[in-house]
Amino acid sequence: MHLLQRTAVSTFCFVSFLCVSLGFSGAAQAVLEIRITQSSDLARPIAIVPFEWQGEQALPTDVSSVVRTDLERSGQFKALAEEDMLAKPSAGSRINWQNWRTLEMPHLLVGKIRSTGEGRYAVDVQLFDVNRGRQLLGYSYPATAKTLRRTAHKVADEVYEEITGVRGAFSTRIAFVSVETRSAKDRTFSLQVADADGHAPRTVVRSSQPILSPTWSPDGMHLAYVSFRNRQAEVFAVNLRTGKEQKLSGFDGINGAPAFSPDGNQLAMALSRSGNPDIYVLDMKTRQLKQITRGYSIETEPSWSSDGDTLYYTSGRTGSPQIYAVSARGGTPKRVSFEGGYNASAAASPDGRNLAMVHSQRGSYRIAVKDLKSDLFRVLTDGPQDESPSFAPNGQMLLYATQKGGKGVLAAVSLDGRVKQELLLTEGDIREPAWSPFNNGQ
Amino acid sequence: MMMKSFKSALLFSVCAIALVACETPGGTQSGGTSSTDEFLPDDQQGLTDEELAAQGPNGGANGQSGTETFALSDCEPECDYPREALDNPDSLLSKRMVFFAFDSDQVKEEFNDVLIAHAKYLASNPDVSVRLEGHTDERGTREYNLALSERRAKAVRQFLMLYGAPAESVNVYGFGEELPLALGSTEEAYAENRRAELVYDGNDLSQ
Repeated sequence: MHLLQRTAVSTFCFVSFLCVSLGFSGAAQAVLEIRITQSSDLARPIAIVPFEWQGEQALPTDVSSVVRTDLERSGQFKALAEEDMLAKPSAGSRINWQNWRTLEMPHLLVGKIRSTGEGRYAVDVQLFDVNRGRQLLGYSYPATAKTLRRTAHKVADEVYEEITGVRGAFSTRIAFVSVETRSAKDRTFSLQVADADGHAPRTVVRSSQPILSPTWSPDGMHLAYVSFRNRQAEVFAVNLRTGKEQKLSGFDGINGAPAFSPDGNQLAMALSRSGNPDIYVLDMKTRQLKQITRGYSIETEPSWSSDGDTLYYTSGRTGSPQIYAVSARGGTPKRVSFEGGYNASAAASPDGRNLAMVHSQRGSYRIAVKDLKSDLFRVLTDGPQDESPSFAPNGQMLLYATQKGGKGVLAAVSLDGRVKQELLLTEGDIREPAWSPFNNGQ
Repeated sequence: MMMKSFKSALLFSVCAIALVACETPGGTQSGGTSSTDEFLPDDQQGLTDEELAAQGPNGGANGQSGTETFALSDCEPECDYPREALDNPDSLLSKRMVFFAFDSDQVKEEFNDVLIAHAKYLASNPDVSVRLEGHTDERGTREYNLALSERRAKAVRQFLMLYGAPAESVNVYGFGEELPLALGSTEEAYAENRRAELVYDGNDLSQ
């Protein structure tokens, strides 16, 4: 019952966002398309047999196709083409193991979708270890027409975790800013949220003034972001369920670069209220503000370590931006990046081991990752305008903003640099991506 | 479907009306107001339009009708500016933008005269306030650029105050790289976007 109520609420929100979008632009929903531009040679083969469905009408979601796309998009899997399948079983009892061993498929996913009433379904899936002839997973998921897609992402999450040992992030979401520029004085900025595969982008906040730096609360319920609606940079938060907005910080000067602590109780920001921008931490409950850095240069872009003990941030104290680390309770900062003359916008990986950042060499801005234990520094992307790195909650991929054909697009790269993909929105420039936590607030 | 296209048409009309409404004051500014509104230096009061036009290099050259042209004042940039001087298209005060080098918040010498004029104007008119809006080009991270843009605006404020602008008349805002004037990723566009704009309330020349 509780679950049903929640579903009803989120559906309502979606509808109202859609109306807002139509009301403002008079155009249909924009579509986000994901294109894999480089796949890994280490991808694991897997056979995903199209799920059986015996109903008369086509299902609103092709579940097995969504599962296959999810797994391939991760770069960890390479799915067998349907025409190469010698048989298309829908349940474990009908599998001829030799067929799949001949095709050198170590894993096999089969499934069946059954109608269980008006608009209700059961999605039965089984994952097999082909060489051992053994079932690894077996689930039956209840679903409705509206939740079939979500169910497909859940199946992909389970398969991904079973085979790689790492939690899947296919059920998560991404936030980003899209901009339509009609002239230098006439722009529309939209804060949008979409599924991690780019499906169903919807506008959460729209403004004629700039929006930047969206960041998720750890419970997946809110986005904090910088808005210029009052002609100065202020930090706001929007509740994704109700659409209600709240100003979090509106001091004189810049209120920028918001970042929630991992427990969600604190918000780190860059404030220039006392002159130069410095890092501050706002206690969300007591509203107490604590100044963490005291520099005479630019100090901005705080990012929390996953244990909440450390803040990484950008400082211009040496004349060009570099990454520093400081205790989240304040203290003496320590320089972290020494590679080249420009490193900024750090993002700590969920396991605390890596630090992603924007690294510039000879005017080309690229995404790089520094291993904090070994100091190994790897440049993952080609530039020249890559920025805003954001880790997937499982730490496997980095989402970032780049440019293609003079237009802002989002792209993702695996931590080993082997997998690359582009996310293309049909309208506007997209930028400022932020990958959600596992919690989806639903 | 009908409903949607009707809605779109309606929205379009509203936008069109809004645009027309916005155009009007801009047109007035560039086309010039009547000569009585304009600031005429003392030594030029009483000259005929023809005499005024003949005097300066700007006379008639900008395509305006004869009634709106006159020579630059001798006192600029250190005039005791009257309030309406802001509307004079030939005054240094009509220049509302200064540009910066890459990753720099140093005010370039070439903008000294323009900024001195604005400082003197603000000193002469303590009830007028100005917004200094800093901007950067698209290179570098957005939050760093936000900070850099504020530093640019602050550098301009520092300059204005040095030349007598009252501190309370000058408000500083950083916009980062979010509102480029020139689109594209060329050096020319970057140079145009690395700027600080002086915005007087109700007197936005957009130039």
